[in-house]
Amino acid sequence: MSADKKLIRRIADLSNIHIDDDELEGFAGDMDAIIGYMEQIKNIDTGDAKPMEHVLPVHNVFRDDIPEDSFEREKLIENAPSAEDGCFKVPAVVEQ
Amino acid sequence: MEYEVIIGLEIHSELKTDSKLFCSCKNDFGGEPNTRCCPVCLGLPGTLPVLNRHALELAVRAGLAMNCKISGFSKFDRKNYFYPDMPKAYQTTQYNLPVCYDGYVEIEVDGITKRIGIERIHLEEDAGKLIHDAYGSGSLVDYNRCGVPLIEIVTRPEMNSAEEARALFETIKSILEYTGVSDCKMQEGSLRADVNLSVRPKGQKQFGTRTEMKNLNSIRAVYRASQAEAQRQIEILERGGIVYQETRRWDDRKGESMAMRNKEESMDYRYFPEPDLLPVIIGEEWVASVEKNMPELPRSRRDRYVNEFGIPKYDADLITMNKKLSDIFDRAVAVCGKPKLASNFIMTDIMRRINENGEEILDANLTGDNFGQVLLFLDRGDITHAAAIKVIDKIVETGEEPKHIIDGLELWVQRDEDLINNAVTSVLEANRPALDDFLAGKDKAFGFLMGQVMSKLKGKCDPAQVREVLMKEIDKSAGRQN
Repeated sequence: MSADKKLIRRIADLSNIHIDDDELEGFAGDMDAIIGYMEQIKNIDTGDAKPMEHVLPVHNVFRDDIPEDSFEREKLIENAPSAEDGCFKVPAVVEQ
Repeated sequence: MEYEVIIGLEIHSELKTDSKLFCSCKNDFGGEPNTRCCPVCLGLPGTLPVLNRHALELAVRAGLAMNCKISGFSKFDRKNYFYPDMPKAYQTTQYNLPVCYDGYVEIEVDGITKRIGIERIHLEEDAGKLIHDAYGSGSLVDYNRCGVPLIEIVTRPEMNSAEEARALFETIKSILEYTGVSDCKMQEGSLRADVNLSVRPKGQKQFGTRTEMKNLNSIRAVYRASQAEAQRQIEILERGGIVYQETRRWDDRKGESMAMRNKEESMDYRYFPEPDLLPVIIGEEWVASVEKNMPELPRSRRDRYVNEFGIPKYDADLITMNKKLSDIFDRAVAVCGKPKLASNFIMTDIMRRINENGEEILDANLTGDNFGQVLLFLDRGDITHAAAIKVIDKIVETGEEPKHIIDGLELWVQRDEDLINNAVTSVLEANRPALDDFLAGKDKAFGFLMGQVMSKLKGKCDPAQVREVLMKEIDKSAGRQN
């Protein structure tokens, strides 16, 4: 697999990152190098390896279903760039 | 041409836990915005989610109730998307290893039982709510619901009509209610369905293009939206047109759907394993203990009503479809000992109330205890059927004790024979022509006379006793005539 300008544009759109058209070429080159590096994995024989579903050898960590006090609302919205009526305020969203 | 309709449902149901899925904020409905939130459910940097054990058990319970296999090994994944209802910019859900998979539920339409496959049931978190500001300067976000535990139940595309889709939705709703997995309050959005639907000419092997109808939050909406969408697609094909794969929004008021803005790319959620949550291993012993604590399911309750109480299957089906109603019935039978009387009363009077005023009447004042007491009085002949209906009216309204209501409205049946004799004599005297009609063979006149006597007694006497006295007096006057 290799990266082209179209792929970079698609990833940028999905990630909500703004990239100018004249930057696409450069990013495609960088991405290509990364993909090339990762491609080496394909040469390893994984015939006997079990799929790794998680990096940690730990499982079943739970909490009991006991509610506790939530955070103070004022504290929670203190850092929000914009707030109104106890709500976070975001740019108008058109229902998708 | 004849077409075959193919429907699959995705049902989202909020779980009845006390706290959220990954933090200790309260799981509740309504309230002041953003008062049940913390850094974990707001996805602030540096926080770590921890799974609510009870939520996991409820998902397992739902799976067992729908005949699913329970995954020995299960894990969580991130579903990435940008929308302000999810502050982390991803939803924690399960991708390739759901808690439950490969089950089925049985539905019944027109007396025919059909098995519908359940592909999977997975755990995930609910999103917050956007409040659209009237001035259009921005949207306000309330994250109280963000992080509330949900299960998503995905069926196989095995329903072939709107009736079957409705039956499946109703059946799953009642299973979730009975097992205590969810309270299924649809008006609060705690149960909602997406309908995936396609049509194809009968006999064709290949599936047609399917559309997805999002967020239907009533049984009626599932039915109407399925019917309308099947019709819409058939009309397109009949015209030689093309059905596009798209997400549509149902407008229940207009009874039609509209295509939602379709961003082709947005379907790429770039799922990947959630590194902040550890995998879950559910052993056989754990599954067995969940199974042991499983409440009685609607089907087994229905069979009990039919076999032990001798109630018609149709009635038993209707009563058990609604858990609250079925609980009221069970308790009322325990109080009055008359299952048939209780079911007859439910099928007529209580069903009428539910149809007119909605299921909410079962949430408040009417209980199995007070309903059972009313039936007990009715069965003993202490009150008339008409009076029983009045008492229930009052119970629904105020929640007062039946005995107080009957005292207050003076509804006790009068057994005073003199009172009845006097009423009968005076009615017969005043209605000589009706009496003559009856004696001349017009049976209908009896009903008229009976009505007159009952109305004179203000309905407070036992109709059986009144009838007896009236018959006797009529016989006497017939004797005098001959």
